[in-house]
Order: sequence, then structure tokens, then C-alpha cells
Amino acid sequence: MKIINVTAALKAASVVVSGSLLLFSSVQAGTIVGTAHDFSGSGWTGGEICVACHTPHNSDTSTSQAPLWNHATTVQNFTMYDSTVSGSMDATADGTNPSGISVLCLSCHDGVTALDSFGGTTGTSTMAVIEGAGNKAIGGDTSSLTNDHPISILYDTALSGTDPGLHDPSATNVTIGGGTKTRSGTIASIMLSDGRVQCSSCHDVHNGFVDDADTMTTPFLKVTRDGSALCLTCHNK
Amino acid sequence: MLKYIYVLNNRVVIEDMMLKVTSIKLIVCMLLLQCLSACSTTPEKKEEYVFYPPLPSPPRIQYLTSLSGPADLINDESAFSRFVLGDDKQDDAGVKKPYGVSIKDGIIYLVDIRGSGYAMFDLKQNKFDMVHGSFSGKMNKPINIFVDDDGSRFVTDTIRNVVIVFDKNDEFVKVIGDGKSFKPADILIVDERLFISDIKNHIIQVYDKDTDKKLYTIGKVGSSEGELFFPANMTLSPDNHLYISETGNFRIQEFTLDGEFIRSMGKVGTGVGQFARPKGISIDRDGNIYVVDAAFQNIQIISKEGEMLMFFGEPGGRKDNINLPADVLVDYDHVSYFQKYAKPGFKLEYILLVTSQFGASKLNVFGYGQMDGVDYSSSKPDEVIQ
Repeated sequence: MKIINVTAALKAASVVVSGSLLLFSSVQAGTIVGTAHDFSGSGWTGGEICVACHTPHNSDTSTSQAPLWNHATTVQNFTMYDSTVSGSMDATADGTNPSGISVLCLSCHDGVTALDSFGGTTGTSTMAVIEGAGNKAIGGDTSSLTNDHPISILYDTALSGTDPGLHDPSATNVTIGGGTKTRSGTIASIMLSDGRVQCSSCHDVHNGFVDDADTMTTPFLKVTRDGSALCLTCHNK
Repeated sequence: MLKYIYVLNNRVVIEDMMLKVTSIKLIVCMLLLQCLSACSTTPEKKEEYVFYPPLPSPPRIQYLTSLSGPADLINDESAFSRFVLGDDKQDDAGVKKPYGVSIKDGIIYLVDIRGSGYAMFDLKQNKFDMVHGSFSGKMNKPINIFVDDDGSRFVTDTIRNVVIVFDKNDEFVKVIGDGKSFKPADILIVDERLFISDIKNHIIQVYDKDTDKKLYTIGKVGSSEGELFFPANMTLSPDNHLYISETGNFRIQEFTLDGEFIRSMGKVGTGVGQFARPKGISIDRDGNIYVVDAAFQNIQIISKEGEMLMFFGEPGGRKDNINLPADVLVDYDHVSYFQKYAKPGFKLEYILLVTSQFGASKLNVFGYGQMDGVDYSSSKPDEVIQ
């Protein structure tokens, strides 16, 4: 459980929220080497580590929240987790498909778009091809996100007012990461992207602030699952 | 497993006529229809009763009625009241998202997390009231309530992280706790001792009721026997033992009031007698244990020997359904208010109050009883239904 200093957070909230979102959407100095996102050993990257996602020149500027983007973006039509899936859900999904930074993740994790589709070429190595049956693609063949935690949903103070089962994202301080790599701030500044819950709310793609205390295989999680700590970061149970 | 789901999703309705042969049923239905169209243009709506367990087991538990807001207290014959207060039972004055329930001296207390207060359904005067508290007594996220013998109301609040105390007139008296050392989910009073289930430190905090001094704690955080993780709800057994439901350890544990561990029941799973999200817990005079499971959306009944007896309740859109249930309460003292909802011949012994955090019915009242003329000797109450 994280210690929540409400009064301090309230004072700091406005400053932190406006300043940090920019910072967070930029590339962090991470330790991607050796992680599941290190494709430098694959023939199709030519030994480069960043190229699957990023390029210094002629990047795709049409995709939002995608700095120097180099990868093909998913064209799948997803079924969102929304109030038709769970009648008790108060948050609303941002449109009929994922938005923002989640689109980038799903541009490989949809299981359909090839990992080696980047730099204008169309590849063949999808997650389904690489991992075969039981691959960890999100949505799988049906492109359904209804059995995953909802994403692209607005999570603001008003929502936490409607549902007291959620912490106020602007007033609740949390810490992510582990060991020497930790970062603290409000839920809005540390977990959310443009005020929305996205894949990046729980996962740190660049392995920058990942809680290595998690005793299970850690899929780039910002907070450990031990004692349901990750869930309880936002859910006030 | 399949059997379990099958029964869970089955609606249990006792009809006056039980026909097993489809062809005969059809003929009878046609005859009935002919009769209805011939005899009357507005046929009387057939009364349906929902019973558990399913046929052919003898009926034990009947759904009686639901209380969600002031409109539910109106006498059905009172057209004027209906006109004044409106016909919409989903009105804003009602309870939005209840958790805990308590009943004492003709009043049902229903804690509303989202309405931030507690509702009172006065069964004697057919009166509804809602208390939110103000200033030091303001409730931010009230969860459970315990009404003491002198009428004092003790309410747990997991945003303020204190127990808020009101007197019998709903005036604020005091808070217990400093707002940071514990997170109180449930509260129980036995004589002069307050038992507070603490979901921050995962222990039971025991306080002196009058001095507010901490006396001792029960358990420690962990998952071994005698340890606790998210002790959501508590109840007292007839032999004065403390029963604790643990949402985080998916089980029930029994302790003495002094904190000695007695036994543990259940484990995580979807089978009979297993738990996914155990919450509210209550025990009848025979020692049978009633446990709400918010994931299965039913109430499992376990004998005092720890054997699974049966379960009741299911999610859905009907009034008798329970959706995201939270609390259950066995009560023997207010049966007379609800006997009128029972099917003629079904004699109530005690009622079961079940709260739903979602759906049309916020508080469902079930009744345990026996049907006249039904032979209960062939299937003992402790027969396993699955």
C-alpha cells in the first residue's frame, strides 16, 4: 500500500499534472536491452534496437503520442471494454477503438500487425507467427478487448467522485518502479496519459520504472502485483 | 462444475400446478387461454414466487421483497401516496450503492457508499430517511454500520479512515481513530468491546467502547492460518466467536473474541464451498454460516461443521436478483413485517437481508421457512444441494 498524502498532493496537483504529461510521453532513458522489447537480435532489425518503433528521419507524424514513430499502426477494429460489457462501469471509453498511446502498443500486440512492419515495409512476423498457439496478443483473433482491463477511459476527479471505489487521480500520490529507479507523483501524472487509462498506465514499455519486486514474470509492470498493489494504486478497496 | 452453473442460472418458481408432460401442459395452457379470453378481458396477473433450492427439493428460502428507496415503503393500495411520491422506484432519493446493512427495533439501516450516508427504512411508520452527516460527522465513504443497544450508530468510513459515531437521533457524537492508523471496513460490538476489521494493516483492531482506547489486535497480515488479508466483514456466532470473511485470502476464519485462532474454511476456486470474493457474513441460531460472494453473486450457506449446504440468489434484471452483492444479515426479530410477502402456506422462521451494489434492487429481503404440507423429513436441512 502506498502512503497517500492528500493535502500535499492537492497543493502539488496542478503543477505536476500540467508539467509531467509532456515529459511522460517523451522517450525515457530506459533499459530496454535484454528485455522482451529488445529485437536487436532479430535478423529484421539489422542489429538496431530502436528501429522497430522509432526512426530519426521521415517519421510518421500522423499518429498521436508517437515520437519519431517508425512502426505501422494497427488497423484492427477492436471491441472496447465499456458499459455494455460491465453495467456497473462509470467511466466512458474514448471512442469505438483504443486511442492515444495504446494504439502504439496494439500495433504489435494485436497479433495481426507484424513486428517487422516498420520503415514503410510490410513484414510477416506477427506475435501469432513468432509465439504460435497461446501467444500473448491482446484481443487475439477476435480483436476483443472485453476480457481486458478497460483502456482509453477518462479517469479524473469527477469519476472518483462518482465512484468512491477509485482514488482521486489528481490528489493521490503514488510511487512506481523499484530499487534505485523509482518515481513519485499523483496518479494523473505517473499512471495516466492525457488523463486517460492506457496500456502505459500499468506497463512501462522502456522498462524505465518497473517494480522488480514482483516475484512473477514481470510484464514491464510499474507496480508489483504482490498483495494486489498494482490494482490498489487506483482502486480504493 | 457444470451442474453448479446450471442450478445457479435456473429460476426457481413454484407453481400451483406441476406438470411434467409437455403435451398435457400445452393442452392445459390452451384451455386456460380460452377460458381467460372468454371469461374476462383483463385477466388477473398470475402471482409468481421465487424459491430456493430448486425443485424437487422442498422450498427453504423465498424472495420476499426489495427496498431501494422511499417508494418501496408505500402501501400498494395507497394510490394517493403513489401519486404524491411518484411511481418511479429508481428516484434520486433512494439508495445508490449500498454496502452494509443492519436492523434494529423496526428500522433497517442501509449504508450507501455513493450516497455517502446511511438510509433508514422505518418499518413501523413506513418512513424513509437518509443521514449524510456534516462537518466532523460527514461520511465520505461509509461502508458498514453497527447499531448498539442504546441506538448509537457506529459507521466505518474508508476515505476518512475512522469510525463515525452517531446517537439514536442521528446527531454526531465522535470519531474513533486518527484517520491514518487503520482503514475500517466492518465493525461489531460485543459488550464493551469494539471489533474493527482493518483492511490497511489486515488485522482486527479491538477498542474499548467507552474510552476509545485500543485494547489488542487479532491476527496479522498474511495468508497462513490465523493470518488475515483484507478482512472485509465480521459476524458473531451463537457461541460468541468471531467469524471473519477475507476477500484477499478467499476464506472464512473463526477466532475467539480474545483472538485465539479456531479454524479456517474455504479456499479460492469456483466450486461449491469455495470463494472468489467473499464479503458479507452472517450466522443463524443453528450456527449455519451465510457468506456473500460478490464474484459468484450468490450467498453460500455452510453448516457449523463446515459443510456446504446450499446457495441462493443470482444476478440478473429481475427484482429478486442480486447484482454485485455485498452484505447479508440474518434476523429473527422482524419476521412479522415480511410474512405478508410469503406465499400462502410458507411460514417464515427468519429473514435474510442482502444488499446489492448494482441493479434495480438495492436491498433484497429473503425469508427462510417451511411450506405447509411439504415433507421436509426426506431431505434434511443439511442435505447437500449441487
